[in-house]
Amino acid sequence: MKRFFQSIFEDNPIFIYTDEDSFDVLKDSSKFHIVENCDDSVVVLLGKNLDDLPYVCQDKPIFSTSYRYFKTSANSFGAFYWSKGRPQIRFKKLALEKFHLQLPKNFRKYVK
Amino acid sequence: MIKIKEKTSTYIFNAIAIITLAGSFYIYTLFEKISSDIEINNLESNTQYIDNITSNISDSITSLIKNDNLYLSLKNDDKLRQELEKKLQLFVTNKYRYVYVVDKENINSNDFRFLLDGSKDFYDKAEFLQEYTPLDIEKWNDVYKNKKANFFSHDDIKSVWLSYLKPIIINDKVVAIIAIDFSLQDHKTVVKSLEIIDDSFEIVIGFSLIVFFIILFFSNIDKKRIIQLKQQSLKIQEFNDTLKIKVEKELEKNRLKDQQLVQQSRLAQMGEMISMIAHQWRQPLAAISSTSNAINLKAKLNSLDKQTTIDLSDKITSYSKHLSSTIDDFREFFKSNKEKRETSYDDLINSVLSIVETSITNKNITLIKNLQSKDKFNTYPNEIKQVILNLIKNAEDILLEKQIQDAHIIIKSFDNKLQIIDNAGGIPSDIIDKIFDPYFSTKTKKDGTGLGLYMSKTIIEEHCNGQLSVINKNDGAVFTIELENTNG
Repeated sequence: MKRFFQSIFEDNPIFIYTDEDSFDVLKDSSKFHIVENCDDSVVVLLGKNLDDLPYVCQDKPIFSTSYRYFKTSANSFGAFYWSKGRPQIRFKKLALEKFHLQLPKNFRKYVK
Repeated sequence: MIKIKEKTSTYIFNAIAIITLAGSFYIYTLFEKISSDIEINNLESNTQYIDNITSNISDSITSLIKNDNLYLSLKNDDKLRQELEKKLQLFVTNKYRYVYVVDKENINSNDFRFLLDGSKDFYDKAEFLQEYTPLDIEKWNDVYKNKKANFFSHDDIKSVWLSYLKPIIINDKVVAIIAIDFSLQDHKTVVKSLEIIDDSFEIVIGFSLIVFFIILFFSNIDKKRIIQLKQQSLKIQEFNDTLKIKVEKELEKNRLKDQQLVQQSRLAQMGEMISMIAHQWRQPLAAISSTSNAINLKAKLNSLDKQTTIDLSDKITSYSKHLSSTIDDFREFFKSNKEKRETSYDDLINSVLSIVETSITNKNITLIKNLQSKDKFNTYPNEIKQVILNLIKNAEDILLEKQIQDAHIIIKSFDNKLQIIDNAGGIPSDIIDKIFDPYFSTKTKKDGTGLGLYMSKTIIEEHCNGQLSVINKNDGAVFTIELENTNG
């Protein structure tokens, strides 16, 4: 996850807004900064609290852990989730283009 | 016999060790096969059951759809989809965790999509046509390609979960795959139990091997020990043979030496006997000489009448008889008896004194007799007499050698004992324990053989079942003959 975000976003540190404490692992790295206000973020890392997402986040690129949100949200450029005990990763071409995000080569096969 | 037993025990130990080891290996191999069969059968039983379930699901689906296109049938009929998903939910348990149906939009792509999902969990339940990328994509593609069921374990959760993929075939074409992820926990429990037994067997095998090698080690040591024992036994046998020859040679030498000494002793005894005969004969010979002189004188004086001649010749005859009698006494004395005869200490002492008394008293040695034992008993009289004579002569020799004033020899008998006591000052304490040893003598070589007391002790203790002992008392030595059973 760390390397993935680092390869997509050029900012240093990368300001991230997240709705889940489980992503606090990113706090340990000097290259990431978890922000309290979604407006200050570069990217939103969305957990399961889909309904609690602040309105200001709607325009931010969103990386989701829910297939449903990934499918329904136009700003969700990618998702990582588990399906039937198997890890799944997906990227949305339109959203990537919208936010001018460039994926590393090894992730491009997951773009739809 | 011991050697045979030792060999037999070694063979038995080796046989036990080999049987134990071979038996353990046989049982272990047998168990391995049974274990493998159980494991395979258990897995086959599980997969067979899953295959039956998936066949039922496949039959249900194909019987309920209205055309040959499963995707279109489900897409166009929400109720049918819901009905089928409810059927799938019936199979979902802790053991059969995921039951779902997927297909491919494009047969050549690696992208699958969900058609039906039996999950009850909201977060896990897949939507209709939700994209799905399995991990072992080749195995899923194989099912499409080969039109055959396949099962495999998950790489990420090894050996706990197994995926079973069953193709739904319509018109000889795979239209979808029924996937069931089921737990192998039961199977693993069985395998784990078998592994525990397998480990136990391995320990037993290991233990058997250790026991085998220990027995082999000790058997080898035992074998070496037996070989060493054999070698030692041979050496001892050789040594014994050599020793036997040496002993026989030494015994022969000693026998010859003994013969020489006995011969020497006999000569000495004969010398003493002649000396004693001379003493005994001196008086009668003097009497004969005197009678002869009387006859001679009377003849010269012409006073020898017939009666006088008869009387004097009778005297000479009498003296001659006495001389002859003396020789008979000596001959009888030195004749050895093979049978016991009844006798008493007094008889024995008187018989000895009749020979030596004159000789001893002529040397100014007083003989004192104190005879109080009147009991008769059976023994070898001449043997005992030789001992008594030897003890008296020894006393005489030492009294003369030490030139003792008022020398005397006391001969005392009482109860079953006979004592010869002198007043020659006793035996020095440093040699008193050795005087009965063979060839030990305080006399000069010419006078003593060193066999007198040794033979005396042998006669009393080994032939006559008695005891011969010596102590120093007052001013001399006391030799005591004690015959155990004087009445026997």
